[in-house]
Amino acid sequence: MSFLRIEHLCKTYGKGENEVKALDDVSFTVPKGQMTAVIGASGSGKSTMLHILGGVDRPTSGKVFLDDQDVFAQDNKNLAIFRRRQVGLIYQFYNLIPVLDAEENITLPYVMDGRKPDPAKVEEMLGLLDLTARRHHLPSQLSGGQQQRVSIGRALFTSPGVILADEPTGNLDSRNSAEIIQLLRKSNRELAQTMIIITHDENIALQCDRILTLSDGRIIGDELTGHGGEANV
Amino acid sequence: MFERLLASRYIRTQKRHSILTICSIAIAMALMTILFTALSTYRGIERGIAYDAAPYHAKIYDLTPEEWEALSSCGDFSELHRFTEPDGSIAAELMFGKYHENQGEFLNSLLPGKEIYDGLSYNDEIIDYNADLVRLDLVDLNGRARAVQTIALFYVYVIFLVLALRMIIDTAFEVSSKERERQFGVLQSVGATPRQIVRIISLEGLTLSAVGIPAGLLLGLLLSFAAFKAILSSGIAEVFFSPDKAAKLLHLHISPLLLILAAVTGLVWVLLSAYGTGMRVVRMSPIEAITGKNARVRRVRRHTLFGLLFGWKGKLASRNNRRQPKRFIITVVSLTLSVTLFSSFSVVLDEVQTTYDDAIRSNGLDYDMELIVHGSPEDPHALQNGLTLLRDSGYFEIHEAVDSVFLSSADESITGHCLILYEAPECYDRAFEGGAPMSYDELTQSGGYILMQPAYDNGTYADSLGGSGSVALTYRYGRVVSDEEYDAMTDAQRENVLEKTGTDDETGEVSTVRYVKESKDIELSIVAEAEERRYAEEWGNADWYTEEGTSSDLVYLVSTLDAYNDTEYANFPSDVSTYLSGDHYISVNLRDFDAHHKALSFIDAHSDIVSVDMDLYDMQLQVRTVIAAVRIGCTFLSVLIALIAIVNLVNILSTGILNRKSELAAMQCLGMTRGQLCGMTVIECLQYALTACIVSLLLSEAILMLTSMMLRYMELSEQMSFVQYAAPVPKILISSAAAFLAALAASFLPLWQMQKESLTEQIRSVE
Ligand SMILES: Nc1ncnc2c1ncn2[C@@H]1O[C@H](COP(=O)(O)OP(=O)(O)OP(=O)(O)O)[C@@H](O)[C@H]1O
Ligand SMILES: [Mg+2]
Repeated sequence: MSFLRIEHLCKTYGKGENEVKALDDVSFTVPKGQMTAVIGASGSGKSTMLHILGGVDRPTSGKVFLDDQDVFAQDNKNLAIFRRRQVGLIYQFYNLIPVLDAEENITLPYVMDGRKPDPAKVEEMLGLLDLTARRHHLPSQLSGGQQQRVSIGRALFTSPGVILADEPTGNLDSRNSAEIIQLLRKSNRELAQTMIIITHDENIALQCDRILTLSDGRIIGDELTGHGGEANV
Repeated sequence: MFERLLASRYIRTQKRHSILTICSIAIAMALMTILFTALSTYRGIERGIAYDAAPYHAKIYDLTPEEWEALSSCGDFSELHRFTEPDGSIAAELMFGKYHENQGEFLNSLLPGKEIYDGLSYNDEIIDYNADLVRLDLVDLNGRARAVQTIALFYVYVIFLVLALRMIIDTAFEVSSKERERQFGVLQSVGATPRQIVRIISLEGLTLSAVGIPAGLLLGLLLSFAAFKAILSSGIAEVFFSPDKAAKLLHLHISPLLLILAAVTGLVWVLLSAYGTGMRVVRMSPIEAITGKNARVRRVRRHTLFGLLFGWKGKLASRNNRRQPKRFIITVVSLTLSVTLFSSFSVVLDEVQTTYDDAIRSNGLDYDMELIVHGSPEDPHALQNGLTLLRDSGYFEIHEAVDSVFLSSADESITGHCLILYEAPECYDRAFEGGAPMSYDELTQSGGYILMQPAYDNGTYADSLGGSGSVALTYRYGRVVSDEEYDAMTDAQRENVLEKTGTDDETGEVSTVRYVKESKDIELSIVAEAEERRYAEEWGNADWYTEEGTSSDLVYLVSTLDAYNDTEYANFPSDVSTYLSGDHYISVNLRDFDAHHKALSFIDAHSDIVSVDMDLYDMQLQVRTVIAAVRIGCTFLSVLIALIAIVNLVNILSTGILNRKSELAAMQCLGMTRGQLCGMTVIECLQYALTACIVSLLLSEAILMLTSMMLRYMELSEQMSFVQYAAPVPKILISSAAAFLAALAASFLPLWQMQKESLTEQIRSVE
């Protein structure tokens, strides 16, 4: 069973009087296919946690297991391969490659793996994200929402087992954001993807299977929403 | 392959940066090419000279036909020629084609019984062994060992350049990776392996090298050629070689092997730099790279010097420069190196010049020619007239024309003797080193004398004159007694008559002159006093002029040549025993150094009045040539250093500005005026230049201190006046100012270009 297990995760920034405890002994598990929302006040450590789960940042202490494999026990190379095959990370601030156009950005993890993207699949993804007309535009030529959609496409394109999204709809209007959530939900159902979505939007949180609440780097709430909970433990 | 795609995209989308990197690589390569070409040219010329002396490795005489057979059947020679000597014996000129540890022993084994080589030296009766050529062709152990030594020595020099070169290439990559650290972080976060990241940067480096290295080789060859031409044009070749030899021996030698070595070194450097920066990016966690945050949290300094000086603009500038400490340090180091090298070159140049000048002056030879103005004791105006002739010719400048006479003191006001000096107008100021108490004209009109007191004397002589303003002297001379007069003399009178026998230099005739000693008292008026300066230094040993060393108390009285010609004294009878001779020795400089021949023929045409005593033209020409060659060399190096500095500076500063494009635009959106923006930029540049200036000052003073310590240690400080702590200061200030201007140009160019875009465009653009 593909699931995510987090054990006693701590992350501190700085030293002495500048010390910030961004994560303070966080432990929880996410079963395969569960769509979890993470909410919490600004600065509560949501992004920090997500980055660690995605293997782009190392925890100060604690462990992350995916399918019982210790993520940070791997060397840099395998960690990179882990990132490109197992995880799709959607950043709060998109983080697109400025020298690549929309389509190239979306297919990048795939190409990096030495595989050739299926043109039909590319068309489909661009269509789903409503980016077909903008496929050859550079990130600097795209609007904020369009950039966000490119970064979502990039995360979904490799069909990874885990999707981590940091406010994926932060820059979208309500219709667009509803569509994106539909898209994520569909992907979650079809591929049994484990998803963690950070959001400030109550509606989006309520559409998920489970809601985790973070405050000052600790989990202070963990509840099931009760819909679509067939995969729930 | 996506690595290739990304690498080529980066190169193409960041044109400016790619071009700068190519420039950096090309300049680094050019430098290396110049060095290697210098080495091969040096060796080539050395070989040319050795070959010119004898065009073979060895010439063996007195060969028997069997021995000749033995030689010609051996395949180890690349060239072998048979000669029949005038006496009928066989001789062979040969070139070794193969390496033998010891060619002498090899020849011995080939020609047993001939005893060509005794283990230490060659038997020069039967072999003419061109050891230099053998060594330079690297066909024996000695040659190879020496070559390794030369190259090792050369590499010590190269190590200094390595610093500069690595810095250029590193800077280029450092700048590029800094800019793209974020992008590499993103790449890593979406799953690029470290190897892939390194491959992208390396591919980029390789692509840029493919353009930069050949361009650099070409540039280096062109520059070497230009430098060689320039150095030859200084005429240095003729100092050492005859013109036809120079044309034959002195040309550029280009060694393909060394060029390949240079190219490979360059490539390795580029790849190392690329690899280094790639590894640095890889070592960070992706999120560190993306957010540009270091795990280490630095404390922000709230108060900075520039903040105090320039207010909020200064504060922002300081913060900006501190944001990337490594970049700041690289910039300052590159500026410092350039400024220090630049100023030390010019200090060295000045030193070379002054050392030569001093050497020449200490020999009293700081002029082009020494001439004799012919005259006779009866014609006190001969010198004056001769000088006028030379002046009017337009070829000469009078360097020194002094006439002098010893007088002794009539009373006790001056003990000992007095040297009266008459100076030509051209030499007057120099005699006092600018400290003349009155002008030449005033002195001429007064008809008086300036009392020059010995430096140690503290005015004692002036006091001893009692302020009378005049000094009584006795002029002693020998009056020639004619034969008639002698015949008319009484015996008692004849007792006073002395004889002097002299030989005429030209005819060799021996003649005897009879004379009587006579004297006349004269009174000279003293119109001013001055401290003795030039004579003590110039006329021989300084010790002689200390109180203890003074054999006689000599006082100088200085007057003008014009005044001298008007005095009664000039018409005194003067002959055998006076110091006023008929011939006057003067030294002159050529007004136009190249008109030497015309000047000589002018003197020839007036041989009744002047003739050449000593022509220093050739010596001065050599000195000038050497200095010119050194100057050209220094200029070339300086230009290269300046180029390095400028490329680095443009690279770093312009990327620094472009990097902050959106940030600067945001500040403008908040209401920063363009003037304020420029002000901030100027302050940033000022920080770079000032820091470099201060570090350079400290550095060069430290170097000077070390040098002086070393000189003292080697007990050379007496001979070398090298260490002058003030010398580099103005040069450093000037070159720092130049660096400041260059920094301004490097910053304002991208700023000015950015202004063409609208603010929103600028904000959106992410480089
Ligand atoms: N590199 C860093 N150095 C120091 N402190 C940091 C660093 N990154 C994050 N922090 C601190 O860690 C805490 C958690 O940050 P994080 O970005 O995870 O918050 P967040 O919950 O995502 O907030 P938001 O909803 O505003 O995005 C914050 O207090 C932040 O100041
Ligand atoms: Mg966040």
